[in-house]
Amino acid sequence: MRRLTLPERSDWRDTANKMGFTFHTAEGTPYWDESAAFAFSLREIEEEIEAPSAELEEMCLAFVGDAIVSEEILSSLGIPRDFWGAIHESWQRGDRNLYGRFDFAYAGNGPAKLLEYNADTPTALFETGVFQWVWLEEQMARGVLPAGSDQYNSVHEKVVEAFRAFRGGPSYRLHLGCARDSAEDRGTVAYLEDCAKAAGLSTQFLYMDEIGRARDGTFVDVANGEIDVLFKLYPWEWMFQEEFGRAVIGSRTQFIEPIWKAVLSTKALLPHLWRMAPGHPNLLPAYFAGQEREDLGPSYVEKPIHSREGANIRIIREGRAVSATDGPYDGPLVRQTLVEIPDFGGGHAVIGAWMVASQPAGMLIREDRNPITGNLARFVPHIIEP
Amino acid sequence: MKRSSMIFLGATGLLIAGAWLGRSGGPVSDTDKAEIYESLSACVTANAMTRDQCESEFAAAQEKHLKDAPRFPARAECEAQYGSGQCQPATIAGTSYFLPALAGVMIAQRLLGQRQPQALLPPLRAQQTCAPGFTPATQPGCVVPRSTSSTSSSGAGWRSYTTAGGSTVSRDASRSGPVTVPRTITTGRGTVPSVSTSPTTSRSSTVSRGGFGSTARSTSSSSSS
Repeated sequence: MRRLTLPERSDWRDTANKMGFTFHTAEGTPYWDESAAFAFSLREIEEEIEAPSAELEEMCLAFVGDAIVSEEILSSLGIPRDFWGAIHESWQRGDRNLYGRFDFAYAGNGPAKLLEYNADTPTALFETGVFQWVWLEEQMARGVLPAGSDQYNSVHEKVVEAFRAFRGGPSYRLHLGCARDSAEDRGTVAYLEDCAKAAGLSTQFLYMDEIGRARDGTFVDVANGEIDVLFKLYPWEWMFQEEFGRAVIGSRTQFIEPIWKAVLSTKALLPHLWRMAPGHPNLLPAYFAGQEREDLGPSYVEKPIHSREGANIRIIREGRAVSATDGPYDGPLVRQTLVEIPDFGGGHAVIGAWMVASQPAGMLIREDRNPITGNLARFVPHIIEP
Repeated sequence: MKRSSMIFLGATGLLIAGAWLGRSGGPVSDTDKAEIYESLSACVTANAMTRDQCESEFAAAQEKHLKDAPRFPARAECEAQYGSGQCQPATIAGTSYFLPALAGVMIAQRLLGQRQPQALLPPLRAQQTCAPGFTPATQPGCVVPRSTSSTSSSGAGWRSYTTAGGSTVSRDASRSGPVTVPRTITTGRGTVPSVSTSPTTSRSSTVSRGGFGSTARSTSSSSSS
């Protein structure tokens, strides 16, 4: 693994805008950054990222199976009791899932360490699956990158295939929703809608607040048509608290992600994984606050079990808080041994490893000046060297 | 290769590894050419099938229509969805309902004479109406309402329909010949009633909204991670 400095394509902004990638610059700072790239060997990708992702996913699925029959575990995850039955049913029914993103600390000189699992509402999917892919094609065509370069990135193909397979084959109508006022969320959903169309589905977008609930509890769209299958880029833990949340229980609507993903989309997963596989090379020691053991060590990261985009995170080094981020989240805390996020000269680089339908599917790298990756991180593309 | 070999995007077209085609290209096999007939005589006149085959296709479409069309207890509720004069009474298994009219029959060219037609309904009123001077060709997705008293010239010469699956199909009625539609419309829909999305009852007066989305408004954070 090494960091390359590369010339940007002079026309990349035009290309991005044409493709609907309008959030390439966020809050005045560049989000897509192709002035650099990371280069990996095929062995690094296959043995250090892809294989561990598959193994961690297996562990996570095993954990869901354990969790849904354990009051103690479900309580620790912060999921309201009312939804336990629906989660159990969803898992037993075998509701398929679409995607998730493991975030790893990896520097090419030891095992990748899992920082967290974004199992419910990960973004950066379009940038990974399409724009990074186009970047490689164009930079090879322009002679900037050697012909025969590759990329760990079958995200697009796998997402289309996953949509096609969701109902076991037959076509279906898919609604897709997200919150208002986020270009990134809207762009991600627009991309997923394109993927669904490529899979032969008919689609309909709506904002979450446009979803209607009929008197019989059915979820309906703006035209009052029943919502059979809903992709929602909207966290389950928010839906649990909202007015329509309880209407999910017993609903005929199939949700993507399925409700059982709520078991994984919490940082409370981390101490449970460590309990299941203490010493696993791809895991860091992690505990609920107040239940720490020796192996946590004096330097650790403290995060609320539900927080997003690096909000409300504290870094404790040798027992003293050295860094903290603000944010709206509170609730139970998880402590995870501090691991250095490698800096190759452009900021702290975190690897995001995509799972699509529980299969390893690709990778992205985000760099952040701050050791806590936030929403101002820059997306830096990668190649596998020929 | 550890990456996708091909990417198709609606906005951008088809991208293929090793040869980016930019904005050219298009869907490869996801569409069908389909005939739309509003009447048995139109089917016979078009001469794509024999009279016997036309009768057989229309009978099959009628059957499907009775089975799959949304059912309403009252004419007013049906008309609220499909427009004035677009509904008719029907008795199904001893119960009286109002159904949207069978507005046409759609048959994929590759399925002609195979008794696999789709029953077409009038367009839904909730669909966006074509703006004055526009047609579904120039304003994709808009529909031409079937109102008998329409004075607007929008969508002139065009006809719009809804499938039992809730998809909209429009064609230029001043021209003969097939329309091109997503293959999902000519196949799956009618034969997979479990995924039918058409409203089975009128819900317009009993729907509440806004029960999702409040957390996003109260935190300034994006919902994604």
